[in-house]
Amino acid sequence: MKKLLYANGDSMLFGMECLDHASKLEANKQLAFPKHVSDALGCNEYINNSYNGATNEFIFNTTLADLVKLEQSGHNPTDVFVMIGITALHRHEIDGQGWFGMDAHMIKTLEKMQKQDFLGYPVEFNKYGIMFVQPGLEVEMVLQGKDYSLQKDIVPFLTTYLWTETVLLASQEARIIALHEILKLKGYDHIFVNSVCPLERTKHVDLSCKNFYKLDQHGHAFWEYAVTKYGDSERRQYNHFTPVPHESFGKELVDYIVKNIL
Amino acid sequence: MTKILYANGDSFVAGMECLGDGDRSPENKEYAFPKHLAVALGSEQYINNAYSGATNDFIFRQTIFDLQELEKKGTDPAEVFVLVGFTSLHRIELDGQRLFEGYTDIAGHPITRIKETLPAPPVEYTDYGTTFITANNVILAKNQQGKIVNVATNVYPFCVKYLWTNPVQQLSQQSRVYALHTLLKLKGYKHVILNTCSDEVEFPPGPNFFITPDFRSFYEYAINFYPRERRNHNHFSPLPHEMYAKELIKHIKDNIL
Repeated sequence: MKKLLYANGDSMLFGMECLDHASKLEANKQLAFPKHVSDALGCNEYINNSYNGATNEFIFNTTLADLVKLEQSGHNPTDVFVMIGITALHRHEIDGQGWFGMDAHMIKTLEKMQKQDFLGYPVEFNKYGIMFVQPGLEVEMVLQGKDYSLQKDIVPFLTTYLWTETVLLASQEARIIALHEILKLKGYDHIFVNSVCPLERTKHVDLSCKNFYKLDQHGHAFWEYAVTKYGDSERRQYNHFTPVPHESFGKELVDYIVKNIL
Repeated sequence: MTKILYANGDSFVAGMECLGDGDRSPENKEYAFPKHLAVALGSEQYINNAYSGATNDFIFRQTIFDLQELEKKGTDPAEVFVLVGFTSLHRIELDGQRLFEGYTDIAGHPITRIKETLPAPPVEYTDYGTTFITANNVILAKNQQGKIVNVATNVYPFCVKYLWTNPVQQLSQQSRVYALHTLLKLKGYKHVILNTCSDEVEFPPGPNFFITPDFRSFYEYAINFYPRERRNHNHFSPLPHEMYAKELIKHIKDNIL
């Protein structure tokens, strides 16, 4: 019996678009697959600190910080089930102020974007001062005659020098190993799942470990699972899904967790 | 009983320039401060896997992989003392092949990952395929017009504006420090974590973090107490290493062992 389910990951764990096309409302989390696991494990508390667009580094950082806070507030690790969603390697954090600049006009524009629930508003900027960058996700605007485009300003450098397996894979392996070992040694039951695609060609992660849910296998990352099983029927405008695949994937995870982890 | 002293970090942990101005050879490690610690602890084996120019991310992950390998070979964590020297936040690791695309070395040869070529490519490139860029290093190569240039020139502006800033760097570094310390503690490794040249991220309180009111990093210690021992490329002769190690050993014996 677990009291609390803690989840961290990207938009797939957030449940983005569960409620509707383009929806980034917090209420989506109540329909995301971690919620189904939380319910099945009988948890009376559900903390889902996923961010849309999150990088693997951010997921690692915030999970550690959040669990320290939980421990400090008196939670016993054995009462908590931790679910980590591993996202695509090709994401990066940049300094929000470095890109936006922070003149009065820009501050006003950002406030307006936030107020109007603008799809491209970087929620992470508000709390952490950073912006998540990924291939294909554009934030583009012209303000006071200046062109802002993530795909033009930022992505070319990242694609050229940083978004290669040579640079990214080993770091992600180290984060997985460190987080898994810490969770294990502290007594947290936990699972790592892929949210978008499999983690292939790993040299350091022991993929036979029961806490790693089919990490190297195609079709078992949430996104791949959803498109394989439901095609486009449950797919939303921005490549996320209705609540249906979340529920179904949640059930598969619960079966796996009950058989292999708890 | 400490059978193995394992060290990881940047050029200061590697003892760069101990043997002479500009010297980056592995023999420098025999004069670096971790070596003095290994001797003081009576270690049978001294493993120093520090790299000149290493990033904090590299130091973090290689430490994890190296210790994993030791454990696989049957080493008991209780018999290992781990020293980790974290470095400046303002470093980045790039894909070396991408960085050197369109360049030759200054002798006009293709830049490959073969160690034996002269001038030698960066060690991290031959070993891992990546290249470390620090805020002040220069990697010379010939461009297609035959002109000798610094291949990192176009990297700095991007890094300064978008990556080498507190919002991007601090939480990640705090996480590395916390994760490594927690992992080492839970596994039973005796360990010390220190700053080699920067103190941009505050360490948590505790005996495993070596910071004193008089100096917060190896560089600060050496430059303040032994300014005349400084080498051409901002590293030090063996003397500051030996003296810093004495302070470190005292701290370890008084607080950790």
